[in-house]
Amino acid sequence: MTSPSRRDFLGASAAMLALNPSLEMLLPYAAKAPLNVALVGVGRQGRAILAELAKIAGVRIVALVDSSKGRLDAGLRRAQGAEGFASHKEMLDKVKSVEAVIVATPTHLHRAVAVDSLGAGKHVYCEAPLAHTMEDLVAITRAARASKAVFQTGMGARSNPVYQLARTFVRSGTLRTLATVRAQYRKKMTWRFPAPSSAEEADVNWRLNPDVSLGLLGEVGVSQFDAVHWFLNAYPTSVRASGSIRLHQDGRKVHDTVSCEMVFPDGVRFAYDATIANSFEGAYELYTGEMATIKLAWNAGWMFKEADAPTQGWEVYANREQFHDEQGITLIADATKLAAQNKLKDGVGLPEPPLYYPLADFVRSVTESKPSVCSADEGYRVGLVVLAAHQALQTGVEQKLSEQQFKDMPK
Amino acid sequence: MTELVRLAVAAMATRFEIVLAGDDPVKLRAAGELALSEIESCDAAWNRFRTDSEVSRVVRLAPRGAVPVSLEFLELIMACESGWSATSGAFDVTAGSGLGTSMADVLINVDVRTVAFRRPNVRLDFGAIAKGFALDRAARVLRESGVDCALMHGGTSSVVAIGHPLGQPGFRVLVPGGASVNLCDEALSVSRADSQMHILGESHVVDPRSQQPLVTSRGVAIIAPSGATAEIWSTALLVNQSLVVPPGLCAHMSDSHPVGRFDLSPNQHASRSGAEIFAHDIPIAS
Repeated sequence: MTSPSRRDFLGASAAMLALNPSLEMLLPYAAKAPLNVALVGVGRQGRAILAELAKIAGVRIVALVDSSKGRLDAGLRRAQGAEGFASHKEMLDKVKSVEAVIVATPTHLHRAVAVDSLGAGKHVYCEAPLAHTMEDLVAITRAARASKAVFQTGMGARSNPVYQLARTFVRSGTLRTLATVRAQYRKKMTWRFPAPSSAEEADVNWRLNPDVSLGLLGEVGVSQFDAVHWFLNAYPTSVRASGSIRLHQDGRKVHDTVSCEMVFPDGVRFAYDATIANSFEGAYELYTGEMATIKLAWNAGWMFKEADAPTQGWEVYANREQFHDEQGITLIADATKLAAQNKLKDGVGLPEPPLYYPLADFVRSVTESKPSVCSADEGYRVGLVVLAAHQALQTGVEQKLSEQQFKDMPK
Repeated sequence: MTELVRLAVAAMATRFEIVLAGDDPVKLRAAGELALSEIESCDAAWNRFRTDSEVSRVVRLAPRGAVPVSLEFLELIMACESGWSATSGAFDVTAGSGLGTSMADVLINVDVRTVAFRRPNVRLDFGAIAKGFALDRAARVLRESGVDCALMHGGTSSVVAIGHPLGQPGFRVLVPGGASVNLCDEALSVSRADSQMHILGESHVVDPRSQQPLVTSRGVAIIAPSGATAEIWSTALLVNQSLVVPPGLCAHMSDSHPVGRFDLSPNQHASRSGAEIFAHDIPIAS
């Protein structure tokens, strides 16, 4: 249920009083033990992952895999000393020193890489969504559950310090009665990339292939859906969706503008829209409650209080920003400690890009034997929601989801 | 039939525009978007006002010891060091850090790709060279995508041309002061120390020798093989006009000049420091 429990409230209150007094988030994480990593899929996301992994002392990129020589060469220029391979099977066969595999291939290719890597005893970090079909989703989840290795679904919110802080406010009841949740993704682009040759067109532009692509709801919505599930501690009971091609009339079949609405068990509605026809305000999630609204935009977050909301002690430290007629309190992890050192401004904005945090958590889970921050089970649950949303979009029919579906994990 | 595709993005506190010419507008747009996303990546990494940028990370951590940096950051900081050396210190991205601090306090280890500072409180302000370098990277993306005729600019003061319009020796550009030049596989940088005076109240260019904002109304235009090189020399010549420009570069200086204007999108943007570009010279013909 979305209502915070007494235990959540007490825990969060204690956390707020101290506001997690630590400056660790401003310092780079160093792995407790060396970790040999292979990256499979060296496109733009893969190269961004390489850049973030390079910041973590102890991580060694020992192998890169990509079927495109151009992408592979671009990756090898960035990962000194790594060996390059055209197939993950060859990599797993030849580079025995690999301990962890990062899967950043197109979604429909996740299954083969993840299942083979888990089968070889490797720890796996797999980008989200885990899969584009129920069959693949079940196969990956089943393989992860059968393995003793760490499996992390690549979700940013659960590792993001700003989101972690904001969640304590939502879970502790600072917003009181939650009225609505809204989120958006907007980025003006065609979602089409130049292919080196016509033979590689399908490989490069897989997002525009309705046979393998879950479209905007699946490819960009998944991270925001997971954030909402995590904040509400709940999964939707129904999903409706619609979409259209508003701008890019180039013969494509995948919508450039989509919206969906999910209903949660306590009646809260989550409205989502995504478009690649416009960029206004980018991506964010908005939690609107009786006493305040929280807006989260991945590298920053704000709380907008209602006029009748009680003033809390920590507000004396608050940094504020004006948004038209509204004043937002900047959500800063470790605010109390930073304020005591007169360094509050140092905490405004994340010290690393959002992608860094889930990767650092993965390395921490592997090298310090800590639980995965986003297990295959969580990846499976949000995968169910994404597939239901996709089905609703394709059929125009509302999809129902039962509480039991989120409890029954593939065996 | 030659088609024109125009794209733009807001980055580095200004507007970047690309005009691409070719036969297939769908492919041109895809290539142009990839080039613009490269510029956005540069902004995310090199913007010192973003807490999560790579430059902020280096400035925060390099006084403590060697910081691993990306290949792109390494290439940029090496270009900065090379420019500092070639201009006898007139171009210095540490300008503004305080007297006694210079690029010599930035220790670059190319082999292991790290950067460290010899002292605390070193500031790195990539400013104009970031625009030039970003355009160079965007141009590389376009060429790799098969584009052979395109014109790009950042904030109207940094321009990079790929190829030339059909039947023309290059993209015709009017630099401040009235001179007209043709750009073909070249870059142009136009600099004025007082171009942001109306916003900042003082020059945005800091003289590395005095660590004070530069006081001059001089304008400089440089044509160079790359955007980064053009930016290095246009900034350096603002600081020290007696510098000898190396072979292969073309410099144009004036003490006062009329306000320039960019004309990528006719009847739109005016610039206080930029050049005038006649992208509409690209012939649209079968």
